[in-house]
Amino acid sequence: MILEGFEIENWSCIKHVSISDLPPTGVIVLHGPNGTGKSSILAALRAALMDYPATSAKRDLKRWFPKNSGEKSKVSVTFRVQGASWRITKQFGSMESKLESRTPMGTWKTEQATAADAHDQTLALIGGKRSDAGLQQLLWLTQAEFHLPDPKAFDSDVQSQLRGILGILQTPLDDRFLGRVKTEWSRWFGARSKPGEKPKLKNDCSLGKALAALEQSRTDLTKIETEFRDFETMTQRSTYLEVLARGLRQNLQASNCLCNELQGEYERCLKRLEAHRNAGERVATAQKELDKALDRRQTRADTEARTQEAERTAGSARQDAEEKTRLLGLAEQELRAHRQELQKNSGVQRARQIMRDEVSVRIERLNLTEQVESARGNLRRAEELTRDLDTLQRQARENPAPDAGKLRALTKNRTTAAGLRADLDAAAITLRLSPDAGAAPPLLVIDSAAPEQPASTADGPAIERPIRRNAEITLPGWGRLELSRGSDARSLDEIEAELQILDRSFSDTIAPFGIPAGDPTALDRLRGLFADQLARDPEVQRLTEEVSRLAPKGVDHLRQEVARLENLLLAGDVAFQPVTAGMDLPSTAQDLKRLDEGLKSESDVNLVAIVTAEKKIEQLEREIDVTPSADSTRKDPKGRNRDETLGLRQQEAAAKERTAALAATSVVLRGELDRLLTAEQIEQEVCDAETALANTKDELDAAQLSESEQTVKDRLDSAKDARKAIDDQLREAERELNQHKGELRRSEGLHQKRAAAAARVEELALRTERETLEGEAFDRLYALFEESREKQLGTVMGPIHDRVLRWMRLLNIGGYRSIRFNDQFLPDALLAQDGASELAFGEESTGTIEQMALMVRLALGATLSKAAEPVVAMLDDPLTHSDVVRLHQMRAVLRSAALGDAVANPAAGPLQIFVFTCHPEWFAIDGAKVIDLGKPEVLRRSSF
Amino acid sequence: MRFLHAADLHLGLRITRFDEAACKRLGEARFEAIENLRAKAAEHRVDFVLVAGDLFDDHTVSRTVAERAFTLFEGKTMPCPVYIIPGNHDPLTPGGVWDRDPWTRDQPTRNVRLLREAAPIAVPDLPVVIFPCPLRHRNSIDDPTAWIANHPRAAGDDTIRIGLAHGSLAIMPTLPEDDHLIRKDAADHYGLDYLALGHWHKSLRHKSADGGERTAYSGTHEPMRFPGSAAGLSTGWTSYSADGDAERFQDDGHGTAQLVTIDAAGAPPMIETIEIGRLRWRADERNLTAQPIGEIISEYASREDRALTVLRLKLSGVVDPERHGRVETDLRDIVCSRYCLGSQMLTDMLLVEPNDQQLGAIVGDGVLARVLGRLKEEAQPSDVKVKRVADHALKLLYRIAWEEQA
Repeated sequence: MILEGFEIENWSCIKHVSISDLPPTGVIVLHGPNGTGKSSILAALRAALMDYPATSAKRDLKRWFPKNSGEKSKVSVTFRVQGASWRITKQFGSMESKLESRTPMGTWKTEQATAADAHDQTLALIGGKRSDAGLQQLLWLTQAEFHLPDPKAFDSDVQSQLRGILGILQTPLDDRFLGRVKTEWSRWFGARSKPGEKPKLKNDCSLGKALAALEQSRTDLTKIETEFRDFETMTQRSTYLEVLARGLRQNLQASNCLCNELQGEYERCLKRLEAHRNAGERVATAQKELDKALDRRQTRADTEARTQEAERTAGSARQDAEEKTRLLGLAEQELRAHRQELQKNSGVQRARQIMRDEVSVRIERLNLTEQVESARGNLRRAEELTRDLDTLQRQARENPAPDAGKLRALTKNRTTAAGLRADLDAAAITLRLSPDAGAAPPLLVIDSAAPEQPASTADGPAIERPIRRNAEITLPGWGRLELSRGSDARSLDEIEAELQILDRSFSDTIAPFGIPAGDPTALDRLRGLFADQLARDPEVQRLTEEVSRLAPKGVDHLRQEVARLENLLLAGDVAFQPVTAGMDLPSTAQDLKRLDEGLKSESDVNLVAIVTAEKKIEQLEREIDVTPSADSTRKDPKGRNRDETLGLRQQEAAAKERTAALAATSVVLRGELDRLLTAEQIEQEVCDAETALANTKDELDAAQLSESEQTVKDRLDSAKDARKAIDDQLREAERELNQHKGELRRSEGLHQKRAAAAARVEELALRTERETLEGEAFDRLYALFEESREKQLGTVMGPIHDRVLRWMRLLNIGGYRSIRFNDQFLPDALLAQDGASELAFGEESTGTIEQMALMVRLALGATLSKAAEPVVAMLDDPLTHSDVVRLHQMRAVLRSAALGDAVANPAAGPLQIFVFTCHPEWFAIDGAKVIDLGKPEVLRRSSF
Repeated sequence: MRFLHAADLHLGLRITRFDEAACKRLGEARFEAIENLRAKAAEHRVDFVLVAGDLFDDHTVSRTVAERAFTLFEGKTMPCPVYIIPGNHDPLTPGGVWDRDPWTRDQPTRNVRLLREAAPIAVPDLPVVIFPCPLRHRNSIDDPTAWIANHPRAAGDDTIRIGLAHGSLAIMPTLPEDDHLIRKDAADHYGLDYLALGHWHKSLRHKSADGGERTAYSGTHEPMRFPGSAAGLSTGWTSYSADGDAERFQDDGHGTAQLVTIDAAGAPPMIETIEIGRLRWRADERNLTAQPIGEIISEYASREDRALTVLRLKLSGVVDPERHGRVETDLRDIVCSRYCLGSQMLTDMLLVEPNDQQLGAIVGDGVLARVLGRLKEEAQPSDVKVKRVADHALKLLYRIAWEEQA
């Protein structure tokens, strides 16, 4: 359908508007200021074509009716559909309504004359949908409508038409199938996983619970199996123990028999065994007696040897003590000699030190005298320099001079002022009047000053007046002459103002230098002062540095220092008491230093002799009197004997002590020897004991036992031990067996428990395996469906996608690589150039959303438009969020959309695009029809 | 003289491959089969019954199982004595089932004769001596019958000598050496008129050198597997023998015992294998590719003894979604509700593939068509796990799409 024209009367603020001869395709711009009635026209078209029969009394319709007027709203729209022209006319609020068709002759033929029939047939002709449904939902936009329709609310018939042209996207069967799959899938999963990853099971799904139960059942089974294995091990052990106990019982029985036999044999041999045992005891007693006698013989021999050794050692110790006494005498004599030598050298050393001290005092006094003279000289020179410096500084204070920067600024000031003054002079106008003789004097009003009437004189000088801004000259008999500078007058004021500022600044700056403001030589005088200062500053600097060098801490401090040195010198004269009276000491510092060095050299030699003597004395004293500490060991670290580490005096004392001790030991041993049996007595005892032993051995040989008699006791004991061991083993085996039997009885029913647990595990394993497969299969179906849908979408939406993307690039929107459309042919997301990131369609800026939404609408609308049957797009105040640059590009988009694209597959049909706007300059599109609703001849507004 | 020879009753059988109700039903059947044994004993007026080991599945079975077994044999309806030896599943171990009440009651009780010792025992009022060979271990390299050599038939001895043992008859060289191997000529060697054996679950008779059959396995009294698969795969039961998965350990789907008649010492025994099992186990495999589904449903719906048949129906082939729907609803309902508990229908190998007419209607020409193409690619033999998931997803796709388009 396209519109050919319309006529509206008494609709909202519109009294009358009539538009005709609208182009069938292209852009039609209807513009006018706010309140003209643009939106009202669109509302009237919606009402007449689609939304209300003439008789409707709905509030939404009635609000468009004129206020305070009884006139009826009347709308007539001429439209073309399916190759024929129609005109619908509705007078709202009445029964008056008719639908007419244009005959080939160009006349109108009434097709329907009742309100309902006219409305119904009109609606049927243009698609049967209200103005906010069907294709109108996509292309008839209100002012605020810049978003795309909600996918769920997008007209299903339009989707169906799009499917018919673009191809199958997702069939109803697909929808139902996906619904089923999603329902099943959601039994296990909550969210889709990334490609290649398994989705996470929902916490409360049956599979999750079954897996948890399986895990628990496996744990239970493992526990039961462990219990079972323990019982099996115990069973084997019990069986072994049973067999073992049976064998042990047999062994115990045999062992009892053997013990009984050996007991009888043992009892039969008892007397013979007793006699043999007594003989044996007697042999042992005789042997002991012999051993005692032999011990006594050995003891006596040992004592004799020890006595002889003690007496020999005592003699040797006595000789050693005498040698120690001799060595001590020699050492004490040498020590006395060294002490005398030390005393002599110490006296000489003291005398030399006294002389060196006096020489040193004399040198110091000579140095101090020299320091006083030098300080006095420095003080005199510093005082002279300070006076010169004061003079120069006073001159500087009395004749202040500008610094270089200030002098440059003043120079610039004067240069600028001179320039301005020259400009001022150049701009001045001079009025020169040379009146004729007898002429009446002119009346002059110059620069709004008081009127002046200069006397005119014949042949007199001409009357001259400078004029800055204006002048009024009244020439008697002729009239008034006005002179005016026009805009230049303002420049002169500015120059004057600037000149005043410069002069004021100059006089303020030079005042501190004592130069009057009007002195024309002021700048030269300032330059002279500056030159004087330049010559004076280096001298001041030099004098300041010299004074600082002579008196770094100030002249006063230097003066104090001279006084201090003089006091020191005076105090030294008073305190000096020479001890070398009678000695002829040198008078110069140099000679005194040489003397001091000689005395030092001699003193060093004497000091060496003193130290050597002291060391020798110390060494001798240590050799004589060294007492080892109480905890010292027998040998010192060098391995010397204790005696060698003692002093000679201690060695002598120790040797004497050892001599006395050894003598005492000899006496004790001799007494002990005397108390022992004599050698002869001991030899007799040994002989008697040997004889007794031989006799008892003979008796023992006589009581010797047979081999059987010898072993019977051992055999009996062994048999009893063996029987006890068997008995112990048997008891232990029976104890353990009984214990196991008790334990094993607890295993009753374990087989069923084990089977039940295994059955539970197998059942759960089977169930979870089956359900896992089911879940994975549904997940795979879901994923494949989504992937396949994406590919299908790419194929189906290709033409729309490419056209919109081309327009987006024209507008330089985002630099996106592609757009993802949803099942309802509407865009979902924008994919970045890298393909990895995407932006939801609604996340773009408001202006961009408006532009992209309009482009998508136009592209989809064009898909449903045909060259033979174009469709209408109504845009009420569109693109209000766009910037100027994109608005300019959008013109091209609108022109392109209106033209269509016959080459594309499927072809994009042309559009009849109505743009209602108050900014006609935004939509200055080549070839567009522009209608100015602001013109009264086009649209008359109601008067209120 | 006539007796029944049974073995390997495995009461308290370890069953893990079914749900709880089925496990209970299958375990109960083993007791019901003893009723059949008792009825057969009465019917054939046997002098005694021999149980050649493994009366219990384990020596740790519950008190209930132990008492119930004792009661069944000891009850008044059992017309004759029952001689029982422990086998390798219930060896005579301290603290085991034989060491607990009621099996510790003083012998002889009314019917039950638990033979704990390897010593000859005379059957009262009959010229019969039984040589019992009870086992004390799950595994042993000893021949349990070896002790009988110490009791050769004396000259002029005309008693009927019957061996009662549990172990593997060494009729082949590959048997595990710790499986209580019994010399294959044991009956001849020990002068036995009949050697009643237990251990192998399939009925078997072994010929002596003279061609007579004096050695026999009775087979288990109640089956425990689907024929053609190991018991472990069928029920979860496991043998303590290292050779437990061998075919000789597997029953053929029904329970048996040997009815033996011996007229006199030295006379050849007359052996008749009789069925005493309560349930029958049956494993069917059907390829549905070219078979009308209605026929199969009718066949399984009309079979006899369905309630006493444990059925495993394994389906394969390719069917269209419509037939697959009938398989999954109608046929599965028959198998799972009309046959004995534990019956199952396996459809893992059954592929679903719509025919050309169905295909367009099922998947349409939208996204589903693409999804189907991708799934078929993934279902090609590549990664086993991917293929498994893809196969299942394909079935789901066909099923849901079929239901939705319908």
